Amino acid sequence: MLKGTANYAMNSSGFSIQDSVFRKIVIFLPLFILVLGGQIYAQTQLKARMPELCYRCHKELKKEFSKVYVHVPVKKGQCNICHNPHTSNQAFLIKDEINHLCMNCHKGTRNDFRKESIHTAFQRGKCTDCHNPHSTNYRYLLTKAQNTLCLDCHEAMKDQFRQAYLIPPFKEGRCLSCHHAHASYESNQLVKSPNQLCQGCHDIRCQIGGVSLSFALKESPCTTCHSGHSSDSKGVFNAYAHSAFLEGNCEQCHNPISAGKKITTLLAGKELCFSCHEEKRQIVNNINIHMGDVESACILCHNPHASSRKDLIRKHDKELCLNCHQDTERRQALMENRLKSIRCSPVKGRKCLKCHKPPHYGGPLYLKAGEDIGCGDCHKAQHTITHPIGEEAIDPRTGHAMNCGTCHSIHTAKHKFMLYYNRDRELCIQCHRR
Amino acid sequence: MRRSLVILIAMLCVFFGSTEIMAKQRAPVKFFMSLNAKEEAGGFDQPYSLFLNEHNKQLIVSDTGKNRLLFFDARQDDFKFLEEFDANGAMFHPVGVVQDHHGKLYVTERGKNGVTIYDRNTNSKDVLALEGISDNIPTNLAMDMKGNLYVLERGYKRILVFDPELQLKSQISVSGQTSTYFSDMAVDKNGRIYALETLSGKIYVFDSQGKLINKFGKIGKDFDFPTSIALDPHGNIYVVDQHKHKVLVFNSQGVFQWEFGQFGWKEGSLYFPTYIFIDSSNRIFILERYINRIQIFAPIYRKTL
Repeated sequence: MLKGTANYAMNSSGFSIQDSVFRKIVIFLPLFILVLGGQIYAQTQLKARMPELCYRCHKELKKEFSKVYVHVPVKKGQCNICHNPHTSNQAFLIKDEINHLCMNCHKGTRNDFRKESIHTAFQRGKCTDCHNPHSTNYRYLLTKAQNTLCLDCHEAMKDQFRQAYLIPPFKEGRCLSCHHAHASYESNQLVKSPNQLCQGCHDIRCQIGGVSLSFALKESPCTTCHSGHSSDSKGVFNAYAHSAFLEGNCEQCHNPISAGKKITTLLAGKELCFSCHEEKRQIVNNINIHMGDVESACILCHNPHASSRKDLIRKHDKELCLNCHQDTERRQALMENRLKSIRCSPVKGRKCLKCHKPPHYGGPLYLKAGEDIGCGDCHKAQHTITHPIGEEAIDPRTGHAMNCGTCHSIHTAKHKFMLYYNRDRELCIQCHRR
Repeated sequence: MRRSLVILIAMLCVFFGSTEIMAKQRAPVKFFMSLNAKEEAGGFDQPYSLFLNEHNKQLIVSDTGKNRLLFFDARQDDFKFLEEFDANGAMFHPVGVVQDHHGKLYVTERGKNGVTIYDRNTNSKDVLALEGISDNIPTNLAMDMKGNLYVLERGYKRILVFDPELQLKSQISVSGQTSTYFSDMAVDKNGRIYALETLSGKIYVFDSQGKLINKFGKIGKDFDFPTSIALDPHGNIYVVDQHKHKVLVFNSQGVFQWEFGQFGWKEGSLYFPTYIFIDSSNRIFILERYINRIQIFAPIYRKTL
């Protein structure tokens, strides 16, 4: 036992304090803490309770925060949940970067990033682009009415309101009736599969020659042929339609259709397409042919009935191409992180078909033949006054005529201007060694 | 106490360090030469595949863009150009090519159904029709030491095996997998078939009867965009990854061994490699179709290099 410390003696009832000095300490220490703590409390006591204190200066906010929908911390007057009253590295003295701050409480929202179809505004934007963190008159604390808010970005949709036939939820501006604002497992962030959504309101009305096609179309996505928004055609068909389909001339491609029997085509696979589009047959003779050895090669990309995209392209390139070519998407994302800013709009917008046209371009990687490989469509003045390209500039490493892709890497660039090599140090000496 | 702790930590560092080094061991192969046919044949135009006939030691390149086959002497390491063959202009974008013991050439051509058989001894041509399917465009070919012909039909997700008399022996596919598009294949000396599927990054191993005995590989982990597969004489599996610009090597059980290649245009570097073939003396041929180059690598222990 050490001298001067408490002397504990074990008895049947437990410990007893025997040292007199220690006993004094035990008695006076809590008193001392109480007095000191009280003094500190008195010194740091706020002049008023939390929200009122803030409103003393921010007078205009009290009215502003009393709209129909109020964020829970605001309602409880807990300004300091989000704001640091003293200092912060963030604007408006918020405690963290805005998206992190929101997701600290709204943890479930993080799961949305794992879903397959993610709204670009959600993926790349700020929560406050759509939501007011304090109070609004719109549900989900949206900054505006949902249709106005959506159309601020999706401006092209405004034209669709002028069309003759409108789907009711679209007409009424109820975007969220069909779309999830953040992400979903369905394409275009639909809340359910297209056929579930449509059939939730009405039965399948498609018929040919008096035969209802509901037996065949029950599981088919309605948006294969119909627009989810509006159309100038009575059946609300997509903007681009196969002529035979629009004319109801099903026999041009299909064997006679009868109720309950599987719908079949006159010819198998791409042979059916070539029976009319004979001139396209040469595509399978290209050296580089994308899935040309697959029977259904045409309908991998084209919808034989109708589509909202020109040339009856099935889906946005992002889904059409990058669903399979996932490594390209990964590499592009890495490149975007690395280079911070990329101005190439087809790359940014994942518009693969802007440059690659498989299988219609038979050149390497399905790029347009020639010196600009498609870049010249946008960059018209490029390389007219800078490094020459084309037959007059042969790459000594390969013996090929130079094109944009000789120096620029479109998907995996490591250096500014989407270059393979640093243009200040390495790029030129790849060829100009002397 | 402290000393023994330091020794223990040092030993652990050495142990884990060595396993790390072993995992990333230097590839025991080196660049040997580029195959050149510029002077004699005007160079390649998007060559698709190649085959080395072990009987007559001739290397055959399908020079797809120029509608011809190019022959090189593979007895020496200088790969002297021998001749070109275009079937008097009848050949069209040859893709896959193999040659049997008798010198018959089996060629798949773009847009043509079946396998075209060119017999240069009799100057005749025949077609091996692939039964049952009219719209049938096979791509890659392989031939084992017994003369069995392997035809890859990506569109129908299967490999057809024909005996030397061209009788269909078996069809190989992955049952229950509706999206297994094989993109290349290789056959070992025991008749085991190694089929590569690009989009899933999977390698399927079938025994000679067509029974699936192993599969390995994962896209995004092992591979990015694997396009071609070959086997060396020791049974190691070489896979070309077009988007990694590398060749990845696995042992016969599918365990990663080493890799080689780096992106670039210089000799020894790889630019979107598309096809690989390995001969019995372990010479590794890699095609870079988009820059019309064929590079040859070989083991570092090979004395003639």
